Amino acid sequence: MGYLAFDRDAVDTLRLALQRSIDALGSMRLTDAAARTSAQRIDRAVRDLSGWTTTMRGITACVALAEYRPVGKLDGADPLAAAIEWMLDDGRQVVTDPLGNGIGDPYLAAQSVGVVLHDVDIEDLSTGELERISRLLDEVLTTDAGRWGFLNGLRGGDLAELFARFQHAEEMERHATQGEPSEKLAALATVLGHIGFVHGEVADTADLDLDGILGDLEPYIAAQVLAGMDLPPAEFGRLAYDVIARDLADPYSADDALVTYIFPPLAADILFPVIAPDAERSREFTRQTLSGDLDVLLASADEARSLVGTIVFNNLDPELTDPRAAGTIVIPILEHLVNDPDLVDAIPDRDLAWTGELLLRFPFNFAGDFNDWEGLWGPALSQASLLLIINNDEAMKIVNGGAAAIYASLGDLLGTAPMPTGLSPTDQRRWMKDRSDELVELLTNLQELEATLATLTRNDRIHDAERALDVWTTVVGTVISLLAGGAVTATGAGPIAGILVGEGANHAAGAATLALAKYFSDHHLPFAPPDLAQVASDTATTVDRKAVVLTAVMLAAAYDYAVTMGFVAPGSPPPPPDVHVAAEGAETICNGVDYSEQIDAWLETVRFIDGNDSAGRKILDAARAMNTGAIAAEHCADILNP
Amino acid sequence: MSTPSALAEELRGRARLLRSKAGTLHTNDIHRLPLRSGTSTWIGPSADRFNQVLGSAISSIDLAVDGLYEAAIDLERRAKAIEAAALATGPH
Repeated sequence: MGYLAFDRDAVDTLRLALQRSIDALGSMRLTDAAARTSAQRIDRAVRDLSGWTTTMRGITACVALAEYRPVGKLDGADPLAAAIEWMLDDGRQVVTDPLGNGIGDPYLAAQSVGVVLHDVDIEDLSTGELERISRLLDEVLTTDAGRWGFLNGLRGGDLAELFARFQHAEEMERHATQGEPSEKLAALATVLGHIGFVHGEVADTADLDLDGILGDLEPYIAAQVLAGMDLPPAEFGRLAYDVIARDLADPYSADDALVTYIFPPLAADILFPVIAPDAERSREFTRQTLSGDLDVLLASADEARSLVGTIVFNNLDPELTDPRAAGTIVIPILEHLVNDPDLVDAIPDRDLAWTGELLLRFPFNFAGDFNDWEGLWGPALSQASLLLIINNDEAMKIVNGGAAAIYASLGDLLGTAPMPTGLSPTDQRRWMKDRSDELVELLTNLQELEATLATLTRNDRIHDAERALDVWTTVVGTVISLLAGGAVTATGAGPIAGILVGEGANHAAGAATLALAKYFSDHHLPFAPPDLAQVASDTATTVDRKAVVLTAVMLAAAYDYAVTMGFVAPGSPPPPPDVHVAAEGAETICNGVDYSEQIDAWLETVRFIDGNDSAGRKILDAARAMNTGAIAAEHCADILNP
Repeated sequence: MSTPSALAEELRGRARLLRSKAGTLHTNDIHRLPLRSGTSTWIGPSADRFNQVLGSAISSIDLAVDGLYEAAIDLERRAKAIEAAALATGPH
């Protein structure tokens, strides 16, 4: 037996409108022989429609037609009758329908259930009613048409809202029964479990074939269902990956006419907001994407794409105790982006701003081989990744705003704290050696990063040359200030000024640093060496001058550090100042060569403290590594033979 | 016997009438009936059946409209041909 639910006034209105149309069509006189075919088509349409006005009149007038009998209290065991019963409360009327079984088309049937569930007060439902809902859903969610119809009936597909109301009802019931199991609680759980929402304390999800349940649903619906589920994080992450991957593979598999109900958002837009706040879900989800399709992480979301960064960073140990492990996660993601410029172009800068955070966390890993990610990637990929970040306006805002963060993360690495008391002579030597090695590594990394930036700039691959300067001032400048123990601020003149005139200038290098300070002050430069401001220049002279200025700054800072740490005797001659500021007009064609020779001569005069001379020399050699005699000669050759 | 000019004008008159009928048919309210026959009005097998019939009827009407426009175009083409022939064989 079929049923027809209807709104009396609406059907009457439809009938009258239909009659007007039929009358208008019937009044057309098409006597022209040329219009014969058209006239026949109109006649056929009128003939087909005419009988329906009578049918509609019979339905609304409650005429005792044998075919359309009014329906009263229906058998509650019939799920379709249950749906219709609620429709009665909606002011509709129900009659038997001779033209089919159930309530017709699966899509419309499911839609009617959705409408009912949208309007019903779930907390008022009885156990029996909940059981009937369960059977109803069992029936309507078995076909694609039914699932779409159900979503449509929920007025815009707000399944999440439905879940929320069910969850609230479940909580109220639990409260009413002091948490004791009840038939109604069980019925609620059955309903929720049936459509995917399973509360961990009510139903055992282990008994559910979630892969099967979600796999049978359209990705969008599956995402809605999964979003409300309280599952173990690892399982959630795995299922989320599967759902989003399916959505990405075929996002518009549904009838186009239905797409308007469901897009946007995409499945990822529903799931990312419930993945990102949970570190464990994020990790499992990321793990799945790394071993599967990284587009699921990077290209599947639209509205929620800004959460990708949060998901990625949830994988990284905040203490960075294992940066190499972080590299195994970060590098494939960066590689995926670098290899897909179309994807990067399609993503607004703000949604990739998190890559700037990566640069802040791992500043030296983007340069050369002297980093924790050695062997995980090569120079081509690291440089391309650095470019990706530098050329992103929003990422650079994060980089530029992060000097203080770098300072904090590298403070421990540098280990400028005083030597602990009570150490044995052997431990003292070990402590000193460790500090020395750290500094050498840091200086090497700084120079590698600077060299990478210089290469990228010379190759003219940075769209705005000031970007390279930004990175330099944030990363290199901050670290140098750390070396010298100067006051650090995130912006403004803090870092370099700290080197030049701060507490770090208390030692023998003061003369040199003060000379540099005067130079910067005279030229109204905030904190960066002047040559870096011309970082876009691809001339060999610029490269040579920059190497000199950088070396002078680093040598001065390293010297102060060496004195502070007891590698070099106080009062030992300070390093030579940069040739540019030693005297007016002191510049030559090849400044690097001149300066390298001055450093060589100065190194002969440095008085190292007995027992620490090896470590001290290592530090100073590392500081001048950017302007060794060989490098300076290369620069000079480039200048003379451009 | 009608002159070629009068015959052409007659054909054009028929074409104008057919275009007018097509316009009237095109704006018939039947095209708006699906909006009134959705699930907020009724749900059930009969509703489904009516909507199928209605969709089919609307398709027929649309085809009728197209047929009227095509017939009008054909009549105008014939009128033009008659005038052209008259011009070619007319008095020198």
